[in-house]
Amino acid sequence: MSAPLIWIIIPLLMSLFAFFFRKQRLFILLFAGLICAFLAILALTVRIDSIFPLGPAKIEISSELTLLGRSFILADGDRYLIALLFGMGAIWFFGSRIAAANEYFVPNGMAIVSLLVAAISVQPFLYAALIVELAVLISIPTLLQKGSAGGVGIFRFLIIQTLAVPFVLLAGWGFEQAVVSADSQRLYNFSAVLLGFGFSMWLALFPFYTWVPLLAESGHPFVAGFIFTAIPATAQIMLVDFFNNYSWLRTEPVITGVAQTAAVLMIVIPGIWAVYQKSILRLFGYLVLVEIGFAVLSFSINTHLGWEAYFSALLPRTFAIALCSMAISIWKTQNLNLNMDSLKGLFYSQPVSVISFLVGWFSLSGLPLFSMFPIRFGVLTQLSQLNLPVAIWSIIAIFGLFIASMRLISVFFTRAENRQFQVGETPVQSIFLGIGSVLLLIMGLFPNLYVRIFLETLSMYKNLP
Amino acid sequence: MVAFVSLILFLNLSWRWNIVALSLQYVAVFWLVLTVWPTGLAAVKLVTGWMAGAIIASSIPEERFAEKSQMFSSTEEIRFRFVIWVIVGVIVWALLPNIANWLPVSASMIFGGGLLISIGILQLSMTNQAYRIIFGLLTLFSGFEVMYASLEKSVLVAGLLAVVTMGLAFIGSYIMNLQVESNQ
Repeated sequence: MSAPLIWIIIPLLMSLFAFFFRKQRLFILLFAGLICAFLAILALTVRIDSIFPLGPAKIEISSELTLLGRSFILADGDRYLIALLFGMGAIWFFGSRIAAANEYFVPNGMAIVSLLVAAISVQPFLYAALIVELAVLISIPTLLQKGSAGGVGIFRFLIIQTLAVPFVLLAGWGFEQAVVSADSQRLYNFSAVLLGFGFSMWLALFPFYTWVPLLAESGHPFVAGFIFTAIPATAQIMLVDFFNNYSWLRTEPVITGVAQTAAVLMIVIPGIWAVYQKSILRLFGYLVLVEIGFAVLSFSINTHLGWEAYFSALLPRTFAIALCSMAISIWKTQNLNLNMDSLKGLFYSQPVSVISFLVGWFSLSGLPLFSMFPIRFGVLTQLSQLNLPVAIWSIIAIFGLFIASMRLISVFFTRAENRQFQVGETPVQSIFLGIGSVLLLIMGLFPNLYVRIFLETLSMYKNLP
Repeated sequence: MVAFVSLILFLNLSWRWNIVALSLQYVAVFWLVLTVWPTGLAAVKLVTGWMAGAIIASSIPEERFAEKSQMFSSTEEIRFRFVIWVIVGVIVWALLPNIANWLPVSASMIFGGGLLISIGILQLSMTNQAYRIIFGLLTLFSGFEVMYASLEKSVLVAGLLAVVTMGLAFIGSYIMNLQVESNQ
């Protein structure tokens, strides 16, 4: 038995099964959610490429699977990332019913998770571009909402993700040819530029970021949250692989410089825009952009602390985006106008979802005592030693988010006269949001609990600082 | 042929013209790819492209097939688009030697692929209608396939590119069906 068979082929087949029974919503979400949870736990507990006893038998899970002449390799160090992707799937699938995602979300989402794991593991790398594109295509039906036949955000997401494919494929060709070429450095540089464009599109970096706030607005918010978490996380993992394998990429100051500029623009533009934004959906999109900007900033620092922050942010980001998108979806299902002016006093009718949204929002904004604070603090401390102006601009953007946070508090807690306090959420919604909020708060108070897990993953990339 | 079909698709005259142009576009792609790939493998592009065209055509209601509605270009727009197409053609022709410096691809393939890519990007940037976005993506993708065929001869890559082409057509067809349903 091989790891790719367990974490790619089997869930892909299961997603096909789930697709045919997608009308049985409750059964399918439990089926897919439990399988994803089981696969996540399996990834956390079972070591790849080592023998372990199972009753009287002994089982070894090998890391490699050869399919149509291509290798899929999931090494032992990838286990935590696999667990993260399947854990992400479990969170979103269990929450899909209360967030009123459409019938395609669970089966297609499961296929997306399997395809993203395949993209991380496939060798040679160029196939990853096509696999990610397949995941993007599968995601489109899940984003469409009842009564709407697509919006600008969905199309822009499709266009930008499809545009990434030629860049990554050509970069993959360039890296392969550079090894045997007489003019290898020129070809390496050419490929690095193409790769930069490809990853900028996958990660929604400046100037290819416009689809994020638009998708938050025109797609289903809960599904958009899944896309905002899954695709950038996968692209991040593939980017680390490149940096680990090509030493000249790490030492090239142009690459880190360009990445730093793009990252600071990603942080400053949405951070400042957030102050003036009235739609809570777009505001959510901007917050996601700031978070992606910080991920790129931490990799551009290229120090051990930077890489630690790069990996450590993956888990709290997943929880925070899940909470925010779930809360917004609940408001949307109740046909609330999601303009800030219309949400005055929302706390007194939807207290649990408002608190959960704020916990997610404060975490992603990097407020002290919330889960992203220690990570952001570490990145900014390092950055201030290397590039003070960039650090100052990032802090200005964070202040923009703080101001937006204060606005949100003032809007949600403004009490109109004669307004009675009531809990508008269903018990299931309250339990789901409550568990998520408590977990996120625990992550903020005890960051060592999850940081240690990802340090083991970082140790797998031996060439990184 | 590539120039002609890219012009017809860009002018956006009617459903019938668009579907015919898309089919011819894949004939042109097949023709160009045939210079570097064996016939069997090159035929994958042709068959996939035609299937994509058939999928999109199947989502168009019969009564709208020949109609010339507001979705399509007016006479003034056709003139404007023709001028833009000429400018893009000249730019691609001018850039040809520079691209050839970087990619070991023949001049005819660079011109054909480059023109399709440019027209595809132009279509994507000038519309927010679902069917035109899908036509734009298919045009852009087929242009890239022409160029990439010289660089990568892997059967699996060809297969996955074909799956992506089909996937784009299915998504386009699905969204257009939803639009028809929501209009009714």
